[in-house]
Amino acid sequence: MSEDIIDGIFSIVSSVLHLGNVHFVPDGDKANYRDARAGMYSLLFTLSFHLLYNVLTMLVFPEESVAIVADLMGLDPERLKWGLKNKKIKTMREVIDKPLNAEQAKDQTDAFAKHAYATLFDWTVQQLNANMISETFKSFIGVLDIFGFEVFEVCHRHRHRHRHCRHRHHRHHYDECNCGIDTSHFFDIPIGQ
Amino acid sequence: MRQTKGERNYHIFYNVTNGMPPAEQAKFHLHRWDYFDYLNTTGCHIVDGVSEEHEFTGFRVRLCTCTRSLSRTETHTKMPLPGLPPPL
Repeated sequence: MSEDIIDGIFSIVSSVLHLGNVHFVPDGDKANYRDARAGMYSLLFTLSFHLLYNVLTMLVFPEESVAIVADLMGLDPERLKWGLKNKKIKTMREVIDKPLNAEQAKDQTDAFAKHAYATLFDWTVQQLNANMISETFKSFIGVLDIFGFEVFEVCHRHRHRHRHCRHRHHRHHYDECNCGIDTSHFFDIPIGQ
Repeated sequence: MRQTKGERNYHIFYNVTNGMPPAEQAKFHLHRWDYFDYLNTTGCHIVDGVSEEHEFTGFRVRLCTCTRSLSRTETHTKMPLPGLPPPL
């Protein structure tokens, strides 16, 4: 892999870590409580303002971490900030932008980090497979993983299936190899006990 | 959702935070493990007998050995799977 691609991998890993440091706090908490001491009117004003900002969800978060993520991922910082605090809802007619509260915004950020990591992981697996596969080969070592057959007391069907699979696999192998040994008695194992 | 106490996050995170040379860490805005909230909540960051520097170097070398890289269109198509071996 070229240096550029390797740098890209570490950039995404780093940006996932930085996304974990992005926490959201509703803006204005301190200001409201200070106003509340001033008197009844200001208390009413504060309450209404409190309700209003819960609807509008003015969120503050560490700008530095978000700027780093935008830089590492090659995104526009302003659009990234907007994207972490809002979500799009698709209705019958149109797409609506809905601001999120602090908890939802944190969940959305975590989901974004998880998605970035998962996409990088899938990509890496694909690259590794592309590098390990060969156009011409006579044999290969594979891993056959069949779940469930270990619970023998309960799961007869799974055992049956596993045995059937193993049977076919071996038959195929010996038939293809034509090694001259009669192996049919190898597989005469009673099924379903 | 978080790891339980004494459980690590993905190994690669510790490889880059604890194993990457500091000069290179600056390039990716990386810090030590305790700077990141995804890593510092469980109190566990060390696996006995494992050197993060060694793991990181090994990871880099393994990446470099991958010479064939898929094009953008190839990564979106289905992954090629090895068939059964041809008859001898």
